[in-house]
Amino acid sequence: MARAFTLVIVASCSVTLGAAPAPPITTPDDTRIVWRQPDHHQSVTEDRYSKVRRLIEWSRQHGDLRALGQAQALLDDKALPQSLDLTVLRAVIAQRNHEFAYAQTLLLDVLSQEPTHAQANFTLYNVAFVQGNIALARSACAQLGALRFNLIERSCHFNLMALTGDATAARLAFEGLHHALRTSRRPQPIERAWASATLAELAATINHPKTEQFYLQALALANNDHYSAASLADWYLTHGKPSAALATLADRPPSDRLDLLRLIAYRQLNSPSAPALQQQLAQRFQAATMRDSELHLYEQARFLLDVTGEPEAALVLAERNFEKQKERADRALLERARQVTAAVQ
Amino acid sequence: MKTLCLSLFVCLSMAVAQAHEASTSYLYWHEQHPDSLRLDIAVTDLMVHFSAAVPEQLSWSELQSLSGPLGQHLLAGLQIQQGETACPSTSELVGITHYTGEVFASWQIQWRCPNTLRSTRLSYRLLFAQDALHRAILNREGALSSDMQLLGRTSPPVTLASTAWPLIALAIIVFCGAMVLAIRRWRRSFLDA
Repeated sequence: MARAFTLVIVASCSVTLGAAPAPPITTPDDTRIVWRQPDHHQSVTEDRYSKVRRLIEWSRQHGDLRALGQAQALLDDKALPQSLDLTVLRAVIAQRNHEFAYAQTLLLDVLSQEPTHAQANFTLYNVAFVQGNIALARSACAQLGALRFNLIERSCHFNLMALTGDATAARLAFEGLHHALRTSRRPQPIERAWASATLAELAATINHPKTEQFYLQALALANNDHYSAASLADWYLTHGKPSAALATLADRPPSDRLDLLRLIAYRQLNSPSAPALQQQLAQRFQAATMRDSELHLYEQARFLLDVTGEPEAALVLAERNFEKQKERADRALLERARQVTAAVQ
Repeated sequence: MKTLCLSLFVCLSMAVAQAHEASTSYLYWHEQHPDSLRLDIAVTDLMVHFSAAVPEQLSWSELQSLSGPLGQHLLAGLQIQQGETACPSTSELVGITHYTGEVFASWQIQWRCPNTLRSTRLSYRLLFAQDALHRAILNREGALSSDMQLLGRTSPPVTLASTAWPLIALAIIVFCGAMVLAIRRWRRSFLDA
């Protein structure tokens, strides 16, 4: 089963595959509830811009691609009057779909007309950072500082410093941001949350003994920051604390990344919940492969490396993932897949 | 400043990877039943995008009672053509099925084209106007081969044709060639005699 699954994944470059068997059709009892309304559909009176933003935010929080597709369809409406704000939202959707080059083009176009557009600069920083375009990330970061998002500017500055430098540079970056957070005068809560999350990530990078504490501080400022929660859970797993990882992930959405971490924790605990979750994740990845989706490459690669024990297949996907995304976690996964593959050869 | 900060919140933290699959429907066509296909579409897509009033929840009998108007929406997005002629189609809700834990409604789509021997073309346009990330996966099953094709917003119409036709055509050519050779040989032996 695992072998066949791997072959399907590796073959996913091709759009045309052999036909899949159709699942059985059943006729339920008349009274059986077959559907419940998703929360984000509840109708509220709002303009289209607000609706698109709400759908994007819902999608970000819950990993819901349907909401993202609906937001994009709303923006695709040709009758919609065009504006820079809508173009930025288009770029945000493109970023979420991993269409980074397209997102970058849209953002640069917006910034050529309005260089002080905060959201455009912020999204451009993220897009450039993900792609490993350090020069562009640096310039967008500097622009955020010019717009008086000082703590965010310090945060992205030190993040880039740690990413591009050696271990000493990473330690200096951590200390620099730590100092900036302590001395920053009345930052917006959102800036403090962002900087704290970056600080926790830098702490993990340099194996700071208080890494856990930094993550908990970041989550106390923004409990809905699932990215930091995932990073903390991952940190717990690498330090042999699967129960703490599960506690961190409790009451968070069943996204692929979070469920993968839950699965690794279950396996470390020899929990009977592991096989069912493993099967569920395998099905999700298979469905993504059928759609030719590249949104799950990191999780698929990690699934193969850490769960099914197929480092060679994992390496193929980790390399494909790294072609698109070059963040710390992507680089670390690629290096680990290379090491394990080399060890088994 | 506050407005800017609110605006920034849109992507302040990186998104977690997807929890819910993007909207996907599944089509199954078998050459033994060339004038029909099975369409599996998520109930949530039907209700959110095609239902006049979106209920908080839905029972099977309620879904059945809505099958008429829902079926019309489906037929509007599934065009079956032979050449330039549209083939009249009907839809029937036949049950439910599941994909990665999500409930899908299964529909039987049937059509009648003027020429039963000619291949037909399927133009899939369902849901793209409501969900730009929607995709369909078409499974074509033939006696000799089968394939799976991803259909997106810009996909051209796909052909639904028997995989046996190329072989039948080849057999006819071979047969005709053999006949020509046989006639030549017969003529030569006749002339020699």
